[in-house]
Amino acid sequence: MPVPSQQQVLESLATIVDPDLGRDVVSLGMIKDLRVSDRGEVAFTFELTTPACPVRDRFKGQAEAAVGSLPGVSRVDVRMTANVRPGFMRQPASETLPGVKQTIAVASGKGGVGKSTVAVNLAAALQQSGASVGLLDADIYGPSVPGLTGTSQQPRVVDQKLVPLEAYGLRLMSIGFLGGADKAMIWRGPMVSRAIQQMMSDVRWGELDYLVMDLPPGTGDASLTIAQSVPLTGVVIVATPQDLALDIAVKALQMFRSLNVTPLGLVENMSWFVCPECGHEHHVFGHGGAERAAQRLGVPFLGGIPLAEDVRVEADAGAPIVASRPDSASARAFRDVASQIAARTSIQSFRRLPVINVR
Amino acid sequence: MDLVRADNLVEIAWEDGARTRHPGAQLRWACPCAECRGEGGGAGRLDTASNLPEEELQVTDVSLVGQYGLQIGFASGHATGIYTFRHLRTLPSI
Repeated sequence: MPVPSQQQVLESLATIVDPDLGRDVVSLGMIKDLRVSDRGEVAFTFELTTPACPVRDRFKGQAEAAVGSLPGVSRVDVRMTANVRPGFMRQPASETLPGVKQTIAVASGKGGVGKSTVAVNLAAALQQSGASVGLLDADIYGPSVPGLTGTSQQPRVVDQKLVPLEAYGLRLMSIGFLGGADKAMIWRGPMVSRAIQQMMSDVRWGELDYLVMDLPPGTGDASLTIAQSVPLTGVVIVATPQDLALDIAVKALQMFRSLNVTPLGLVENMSWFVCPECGHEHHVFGHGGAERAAQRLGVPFLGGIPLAEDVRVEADAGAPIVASRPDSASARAFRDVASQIAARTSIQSFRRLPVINVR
Repeated sequence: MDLVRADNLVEIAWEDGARTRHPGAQLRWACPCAECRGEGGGAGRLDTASNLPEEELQVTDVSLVGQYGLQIGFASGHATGIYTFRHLRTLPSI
């Protein structure tokens, strides 16, 4: 029986369309190292744009089915890999963060909605999926990353650059490591801006697929500085379901929209409370508020995180729950949200930044 | 985005295909910064000035600010204005 040509294999794979990017996986350049042997054995690499791809397993199944149904194919060998693409197809890389491919900001309109907990678990979930991830704590007045990751050492300085601390496979930097987490920072705006710029440019971040930035609440200096200094791939807005919190989350969204930073979507934290006594789900702050708000605002809804005691216990103990209790329902919710964010981030890497030429 | 030094012109090719051309003088007089526009109800420099010396009008640098605008530097050293793309699009092209 004649074996199919490489072209025929590619044509069959071109029927698989990436649901987020809206194009077929062959023209997106995801199929690599294709080999067809004389005995009809087909082998290729399927390169995803993020290791946290929510449709990874579906792609593998579709690829095996599509190629397997070609006449003359005796065996299909799909190797799934991932290569995070740099944001905005950028050449050359950003001067401020040269080795960082994607920058994701986590913001909220008001404090106390669990933004830092979401940021830490998002970073840890992306790391677990196989990506190299950094976490920058840009909350100068209330740094939470040291407590949430159980880190407090002074970072070393090598060649006049700070070396990030490492915990749970993440590279971490926070003002809490520098000034002491228990000391109050009594600074005016320009000092905050300068400190944030230094935490980007004077830190040896190295090569990273994702740099997650935990922003302070509100629409102030720190967020503005970050949006001006680096082209952010996008921003994730965290809110709790009640109307007041959502109304304020809208303001954060407005700020980033006016700065042309793409909203990756809205995360609803403390979505529901699981009673440890009866196991019943209580919707303490109402139900579906963030999803409706996301629809109204025209941004994706990225999912909900339960208000659960284990999240709080692990956070207080200095461990992201996705790492310390990976099988819990809360950890699963965080991983689902992280996967959605990774998918939205991949879409952004196909956008372009303006180019400036001087003649 | 092209800065043509010889002609003191900034040319912008927009995503929708439009092309606009802006001379340095137009950009300088449109500077949105607080010093030029005034703040807190006070008058700015451009509200009272009737002309500016040549070095104030010569564009020397253009750089990107985040993803929302341009910072334009002039020969005089004035570079505090951030011109948002929305603002630039409202300026008439020559």
